[in-house]
Amino acid sequence: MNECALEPTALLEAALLAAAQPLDEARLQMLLGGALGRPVSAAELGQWIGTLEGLYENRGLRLKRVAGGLRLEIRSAFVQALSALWEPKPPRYSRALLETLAIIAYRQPVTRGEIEELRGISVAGSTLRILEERNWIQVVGHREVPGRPALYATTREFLDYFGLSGLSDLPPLEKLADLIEPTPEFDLSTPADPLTQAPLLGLPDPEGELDAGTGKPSSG
Amino acid sequence: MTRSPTPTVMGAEAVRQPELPLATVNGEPWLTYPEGLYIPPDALRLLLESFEGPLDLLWHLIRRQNLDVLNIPVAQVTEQYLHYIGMMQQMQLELAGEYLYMVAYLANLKARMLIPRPVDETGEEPQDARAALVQRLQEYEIIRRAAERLDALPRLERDLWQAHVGVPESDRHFLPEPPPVALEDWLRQMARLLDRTRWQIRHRVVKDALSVRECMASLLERLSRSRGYQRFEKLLPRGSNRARAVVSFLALLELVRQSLVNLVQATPYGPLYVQAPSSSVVEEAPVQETGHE
Repeated sequence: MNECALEPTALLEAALLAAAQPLDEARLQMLLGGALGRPVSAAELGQWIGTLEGLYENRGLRLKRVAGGLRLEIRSAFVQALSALWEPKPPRYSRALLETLAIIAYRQPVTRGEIEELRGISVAGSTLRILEERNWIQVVGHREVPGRPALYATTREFLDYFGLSGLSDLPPLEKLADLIEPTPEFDLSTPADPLTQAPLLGLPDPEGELDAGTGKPSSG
Repeated sequence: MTRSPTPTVMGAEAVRQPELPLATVNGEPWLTYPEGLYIPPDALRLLLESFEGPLDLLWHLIRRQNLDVLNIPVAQVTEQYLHYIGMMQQMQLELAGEYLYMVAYLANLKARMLIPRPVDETGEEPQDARAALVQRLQEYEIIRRAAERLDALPRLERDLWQAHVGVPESDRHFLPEPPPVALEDWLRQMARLLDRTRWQIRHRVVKDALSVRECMASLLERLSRSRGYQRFEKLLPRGSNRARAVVSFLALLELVRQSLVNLVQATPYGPLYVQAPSSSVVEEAPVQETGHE
């Protein structure tokens, strides 16, 4: 009895470790069903997932649900310490790129023109290209107006990358009211803000053209 | 150049803790933030380069002065903006056209605010133009903060590491998902299905209630009505279909065989006439119905 309950859980763990990508429930049901030689119900799978989650209570890994399904992650508390293992630092993204991504994420589907309208400055072609290459955004259609501009939306990979299980998981946009009343913290940082921020940003080119490029392999 | 009538909170705070210099410029510690626009040149360059467009710059000016966003002193902000643009040009930063467009926009706005508004006119136009700018600034600020939060979200490669076990062959492709069925394929399948149904037409064979005998009777009746002669083609009932024609022909053949009618052709290739039998023939015909006449 006990063994029966344990076996599929181990199989589930192995599948998640081997995949290197999130696996969703439907896929796991098929995969485990094939391995066990019998159909696997959603309820059963849910039970095994629960068991596995429990097993990782005090381990270096944890089970996480993102948009693409389930994946095993290194426990986030250890990531910082372990990052010494790796030479190239993780990529940083320019404000231009992040703002563009934020507009697409919160206002999707949007056209390039609408992004530019919101940011008050033209969007470099490379910004969109990088976002597309990273598979974070995709063209989901065209607005039926003269010129038929492409409509951009975020992808499931975007959600997976940022550890989100859906768009509703995005941090909520701040209300206008919050902006009108300057907070004390807001006041304090005012004069020095751009000065202290600038070096952290990795000297971004105003267009974000170079930055994301250099940001990718190393932060310069 | 002292443009801000309201002293900033920062200045007061910095004076309270003089032991912490804010910055050291040319060996000299700076204990307070410089008044007005003075910023060390190198820092200035960094600052100017870090603006993400005219809205960002405007927002910075407004925050710097601790101004009310909803009530921007347009003249003041315009002058400061122009000043920044001037500095950027001196630094030979390549200015995007949008910065210059904003100059024109602000100048226009300022000009409108200066001239008295016509009272009778419905439009609160200067107010509207400013409100539009305020709204754009706010929308931009929302996005700017959203971008910061997005950047702060734990993400793969930096804060999230997916655990996985290396699978030896690197040329193995991970199938992201069972391949989706394209609409095209669906349509093709549908077309094939429809095509197949074309060959599945049911042939219903219905026995038409036609009898040769019945037809013979009606032919004889018609012949007697037309006083003996009738052109062969005219004997067929009107609107008769193929089956009826065949049956009629068979009936006629039968009638001829039983010598109940005669076929007459006057000239070669001429029309065929069907002739009702003369009385003499009737005698010879021992057939049922006619028999007892």
